[in-house]
Amino acid sequence: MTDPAAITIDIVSEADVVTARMHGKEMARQMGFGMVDQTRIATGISELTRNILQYAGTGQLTLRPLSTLHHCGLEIVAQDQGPGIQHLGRLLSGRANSGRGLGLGIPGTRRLMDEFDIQSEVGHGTTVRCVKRLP
Amino acid sequence: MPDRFYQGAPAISAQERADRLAFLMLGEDDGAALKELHPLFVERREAFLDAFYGHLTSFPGTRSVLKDRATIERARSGQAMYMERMLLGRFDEDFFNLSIQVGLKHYEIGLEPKWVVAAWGVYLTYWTQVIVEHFHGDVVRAVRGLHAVHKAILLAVQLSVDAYYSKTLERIQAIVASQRAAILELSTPVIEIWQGILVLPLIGTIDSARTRQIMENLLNRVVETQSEIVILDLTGVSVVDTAVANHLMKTVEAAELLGARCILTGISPAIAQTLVHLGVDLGHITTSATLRIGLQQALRSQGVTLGRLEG
Amino acid sequence: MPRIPVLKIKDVLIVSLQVEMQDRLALELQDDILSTLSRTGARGLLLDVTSIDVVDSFLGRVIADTASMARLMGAETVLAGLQPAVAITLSELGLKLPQIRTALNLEKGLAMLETGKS
Repeated sequence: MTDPAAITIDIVSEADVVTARMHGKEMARQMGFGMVDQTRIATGISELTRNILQYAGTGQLTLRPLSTLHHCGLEIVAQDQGPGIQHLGRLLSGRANSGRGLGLGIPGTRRLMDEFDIQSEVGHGTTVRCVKRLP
Repeated sequence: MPDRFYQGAPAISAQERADRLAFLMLGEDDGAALKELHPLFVERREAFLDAFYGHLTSFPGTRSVLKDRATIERARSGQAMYMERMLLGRFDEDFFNLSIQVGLKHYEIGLEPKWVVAAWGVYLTYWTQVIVEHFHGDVVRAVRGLHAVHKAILLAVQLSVDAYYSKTLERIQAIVASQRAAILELSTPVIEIWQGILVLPLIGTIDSARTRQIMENLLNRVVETQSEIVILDLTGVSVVDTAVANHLMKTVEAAELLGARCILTGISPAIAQTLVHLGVDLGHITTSATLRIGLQQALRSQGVTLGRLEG
Repeated sequence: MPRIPVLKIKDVLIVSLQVEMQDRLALELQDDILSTLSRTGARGLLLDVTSIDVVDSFLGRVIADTASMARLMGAETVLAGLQPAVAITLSELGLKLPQIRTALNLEKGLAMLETGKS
């Protein structure tokens, strides 16, 4: 009942990366996450939204509190309608260097989160869904 | 700054409201039937409230909550307002929020769901009598009215108990969190053994969830005490698995990012074997077999020498 | 957009990174640092990150690159005042800052650069 409402942020410019992670951090704080988890969440959001800008140009980020008897956490969904990812396996293992960047974004975010799921279709876009659970 | 996005936000989404109403099969027909009963309630309000509160105050369980006249008066006017609102037959966002407020109020004054559910039962009994008398003979209309009242009451019960339950859950979660923090504090003391030197004695079996918290606690202490050296003592640790070794390495890295240096001490033969077999690279980290040797190294690097006093 | 000031004290450049670093600001800062290094011949670069609450792989890379570039130009870099939560997140992210020395606070960082001790 006291959980904040879900929000969706359009990601079209660099400024939206900053806005998105501020929202994520604030929502995490309101939900009772500690300082380190707030930072993990903000950093993960930063990586995901930056990927949207870099590879798809535009997209959306949705932040949603999950709260049921058995499961409590913050869900982050990053969605774009860009070109999709060709070598998903290599990217996840951290072996790929996808153009510029250190290729840390996706595998790094996976390490920061408790649940991580990526779906990508070449030519249609990519959706990343991850959850940070309340300890 | 994002606060304004959350204030006054609906607690239950439009979709969920629609789902709940559909599940209860509470529809527009019911709304119309309730509206028809509205004047009937207004007409009998005082008599009904007298009987209802008479009933509540004759049982110790509810009397202890309704302890004085002022409390009863507040409950009574709230109840009348809520009942009138229900009989408007409009189950919109406003009604849902109001019902949730009712549940929160129950939580606040300590009125448990067992009384709330039973009190609505008393209500229903009363309404059944009133409706049967009012429509006497016209069974179809009577049943229609009764069904509507029934479902509306069940919705009210559902929402107020939901609110009560979520408040309770919140309180339990807060208790669990504070106990967990207390246990953590007890089990992992970070000792400032010398100015600029922290010692963390790790003891027992450490699982990765606990390691994570121990490490966070340690790094906070590094910054608080501005300590440049951290001794992680594994003397009391029996088993190190991949996950724990991994956390240890992450902690060492994080401490270095802060500007502190780690020394791993108390590495038993078993732990040394495990770390090598797991392929953990301790490369540049200072390690030693005992805490004594590690402490000597730490003191020396801080320019401190210890010796026995002569004579 | 305002720029982040690059201050010089004796032989050391001091730069205080701000709370919300946008990408462009970070890249402009890199340019400013390098041109100030070239103009002044400073031997040390002290990056104060006390108020930074998020370092993602982009900002991490800008910091690492800046340190490598500064080293090529003859200046050592020290990163001072990183918050514990940020340090934990960086190590979990898998980001390494091999060319950079670190200090618990500005004072210690400055001392490291002045004495040149490692």
